[in-house]
Amino acid sequence: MTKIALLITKTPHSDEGAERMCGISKRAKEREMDVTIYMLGDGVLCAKKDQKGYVGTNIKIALENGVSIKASANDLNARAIRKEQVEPEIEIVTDLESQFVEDIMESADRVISW
Amino acid sequence: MVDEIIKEKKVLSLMLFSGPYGSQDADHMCRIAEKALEKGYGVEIFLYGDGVHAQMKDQAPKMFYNVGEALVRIAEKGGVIKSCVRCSTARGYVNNEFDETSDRYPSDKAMDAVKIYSLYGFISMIKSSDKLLTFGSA
Amino acid sequence: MVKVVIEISHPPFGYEHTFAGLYVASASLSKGYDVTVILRSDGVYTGRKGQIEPMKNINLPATEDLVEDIIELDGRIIIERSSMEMRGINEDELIDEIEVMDTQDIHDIILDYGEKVVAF
Repeated sequence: MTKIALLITKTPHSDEGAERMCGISKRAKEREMDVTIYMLGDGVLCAKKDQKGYVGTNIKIALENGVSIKASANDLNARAIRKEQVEPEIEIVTDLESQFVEDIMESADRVISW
Repeated sequence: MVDEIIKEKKVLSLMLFSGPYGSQDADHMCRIAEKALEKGYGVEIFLYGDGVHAQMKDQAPKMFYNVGEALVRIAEKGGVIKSCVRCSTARGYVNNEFDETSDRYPSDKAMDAVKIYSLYGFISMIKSSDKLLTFGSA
Repeated sequence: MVKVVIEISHPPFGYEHTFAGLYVASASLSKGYDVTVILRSDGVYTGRKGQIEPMKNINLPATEDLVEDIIELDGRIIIERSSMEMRGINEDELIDEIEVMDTQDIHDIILDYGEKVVAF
């Protein structure tokens, strides 16, 4: 099974990648690929609960469809986003960079970053 | 500074398109690059567009992550760092024609850790790397 | 042969991104890579033909020339239909041989041809 890793470092509404990331994630799942999304820096704002709009909706759909989503604990803390304010199935990870590097260099077939 | 990437090592390439300090793009790139080096991977970085400003000597942010020092660490640990000559020339970094001996375009303003180079430096990274990440371009 | 997808989301001229992306595309083609350029969001403006002497008018090179070079070197240029429609761009405004595609098909292109993806 093809594995795709996606890194997002930008906010959900900035037109700097989050929408594209969601679209590619959705299509990859439809094609039965394994998808993991990594949220780093401002990208952790994509993890926030209660969003309206394309990215918020599609993050929820991605989680329902088995996409693994990880968000950086350091970046959430810095931005005052508490665990209970994050979409429940998103994994909050310390040292996200470490997991990300291991994944892309050893597991993922493809990686795209925004 | 180790210039050659050992072929058996997997290589991660990273491209930076935005300037240091204006956003966290350079921070993310450097942190991921250092992590990759720690884990024993080869690292190649290409500074492009405003990203070439990360090569500037003597960066001294008062409270921000020091990108210049991070690049020096990355080079000391074996990372190869190049920057685009056209972008660097536009921004005032390049002194002279390409120097074969030092394998770079000379610059009084850029750190030694970074080689100012043709865009083909990035084009070959696109091919030779196992994985490619980009920061600050989207 | 390495397959590269270069996606451009910024408009021509107002930012350096378009030049940067098109240079990477043509340099990659000169090295024999398989190159697909995707124009989406504000990047679709780069697909329009008929730029009138940008160098004379605004001291910037014509992106249209770079796009035509890429096509001549057998690079593929794809433009996103929904982004065009939002911006009032019709197909007859486009440079010849640019392919209009729907978003889902573009996602497939990225998944199939993006061994390496560079987004500008």
